[in-house]
Amino acid sequence: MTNLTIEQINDYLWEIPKHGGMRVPGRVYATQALMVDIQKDAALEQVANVAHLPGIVGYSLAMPDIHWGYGFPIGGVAAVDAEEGAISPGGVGYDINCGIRLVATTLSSSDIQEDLPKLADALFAMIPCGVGAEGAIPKLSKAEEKKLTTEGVRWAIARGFGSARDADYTEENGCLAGADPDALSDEALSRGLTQVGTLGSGNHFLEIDRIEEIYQPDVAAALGLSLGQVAIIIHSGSRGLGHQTCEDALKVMGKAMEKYCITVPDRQLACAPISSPEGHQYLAAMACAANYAWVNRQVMMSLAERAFLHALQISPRELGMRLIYDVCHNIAKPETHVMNGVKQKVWVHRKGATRAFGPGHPAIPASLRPLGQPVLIPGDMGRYSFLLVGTERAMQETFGSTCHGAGRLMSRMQAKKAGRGRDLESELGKAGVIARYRGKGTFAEEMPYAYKDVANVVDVVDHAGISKKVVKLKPLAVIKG
Amino acid sequence: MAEALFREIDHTADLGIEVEADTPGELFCCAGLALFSLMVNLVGVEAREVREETVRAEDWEDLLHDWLSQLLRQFLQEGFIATTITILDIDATHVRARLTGEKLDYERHDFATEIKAVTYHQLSVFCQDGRWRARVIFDV
Repeated sequence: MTNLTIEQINDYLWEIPKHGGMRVPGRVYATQALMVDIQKDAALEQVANVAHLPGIVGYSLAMPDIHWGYGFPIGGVAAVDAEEGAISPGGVGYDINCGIRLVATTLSSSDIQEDLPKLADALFAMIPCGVGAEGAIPKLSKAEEKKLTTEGVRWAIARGFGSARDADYTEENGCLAGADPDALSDEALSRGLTQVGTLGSGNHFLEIDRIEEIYQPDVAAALGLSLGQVAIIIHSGSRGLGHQTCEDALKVMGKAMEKYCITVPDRQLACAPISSPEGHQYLAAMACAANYAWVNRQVMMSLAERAFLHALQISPRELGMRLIYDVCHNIAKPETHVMNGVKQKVWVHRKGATRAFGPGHPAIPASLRPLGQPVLIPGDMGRYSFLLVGTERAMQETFGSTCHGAGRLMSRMQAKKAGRGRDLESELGKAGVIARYRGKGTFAEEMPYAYKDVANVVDVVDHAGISKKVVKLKPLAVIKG
Repeated sequence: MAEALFREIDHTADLGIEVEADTPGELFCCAGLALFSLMVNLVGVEAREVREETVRAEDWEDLLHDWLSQLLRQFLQEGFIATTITILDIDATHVRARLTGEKLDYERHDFATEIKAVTYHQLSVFCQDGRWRARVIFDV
């Protein structure tokens, strides 16, 4: 339970006043009801801890899906001055560029209802998942892997995974600038060799969804989305290469902090000046891991297309697979934001938070620019996920950021206990969801009852105006590691 | 002599362990087995393979972090699960151990959770009143 003083600003926003070594105040987007849960653990202390980062500007922010993390809270956003600030690998997380992609098809859910079990089997067979699973590209050489981490999604497209337009609809066009594979450790490269095109385990998933509700018909129509349409959601990240990169950087920065006279309240917040050799090295390695993650999701999207074509015996034209957008929710990005009327270059850490740029921003693909950037918020595997768009308000208040998911309600142990003696697969079946999974334990931990209702989280960001709901998607089949 | 034991820190979003033992060797052995047992039910894991591991670090905390990270990497990359750990040699800057176990088989083994990383958050290793204690939080 937290002892921090918090002040309510309005129905959806709270402030942690500056105290101790905090350089800026903290701000948390939540309703009163969500705040009751948030205060049960140390998440708000972590928001205050992040406010100690050298060069932090504005506020140490937290989104409504905030929960206790290690170092940064999950759902945390922190912008630091691009010259004076410090970069914190813990503020990006182990799974660098963990993210979500939404893919539309031209099929209607009634077209595939009967074939769903067959489709789920085909996806499960086609997409490597679970511990130790090897990728769709088994013979990757280290030289080729280095190329992949520099080129990002274009590398996959050039090798037949997806089409050229996919890069346009991926955040940063699927390639974060500044990637230098020489900044990666041998260990990180080794861990990445066999995992391109693998889903992983835990909360990662691939899902077939149906568009169930539309909140903004004009925006949905502009995105080519209509009721009953079949879509695919992929949630995965940079796998072992990203994890190792974070770990390597934490070690280096943990030692470097003394040299730069930096003290932070938690070792997991270890950081180094952006302009330092340690800062440069991490950012070059982080960009490699981010690019690896985009390739990973691109390859899986292409594998999913093959699974659909095989299972339904239709042509690519009949399937009409089209990437709507791909976002990352564990990343640090160089961006320009207006602070007190003045343009300022910053690095924005988003740890379990999603970029949500408003209409007109040049980083949004031209065809979507008037709408705002698409934002993808997955829920649990039984209920629903949401597509939103970014807003001008997010640009003003949150460095163009919003939430990233539902957040857990039960611990993993509690969820497994709650699942004992129950036929979880048939319970999901009754909710209209077919599941294929590797680990029974993971499956029990990921049941809908273990998660908060993502609708409550999404309603906060919608009401607070930092992103706006466009459509709700209902899962029909889910593949998990 | 009290036995080495561990307690799972049950938290909504993360997993962690508190371990205690009479000696650093027992502490490291117990923490290693705890890590594997959080991911896979060790009942049914057989001693089909023997491996030897050496890990070096600057102090006890870093050593425990790096030791568990090394074991975790073996699991994540190759699926290797240790069912017994024998500490051959240990001090504050290195640990050498023999592991016996086998690779994960989804058909035979009860897989629980994939731990992604060993964090530095609230990491501690200390000796108090002759008893060694450690706390580690994992990223899941």
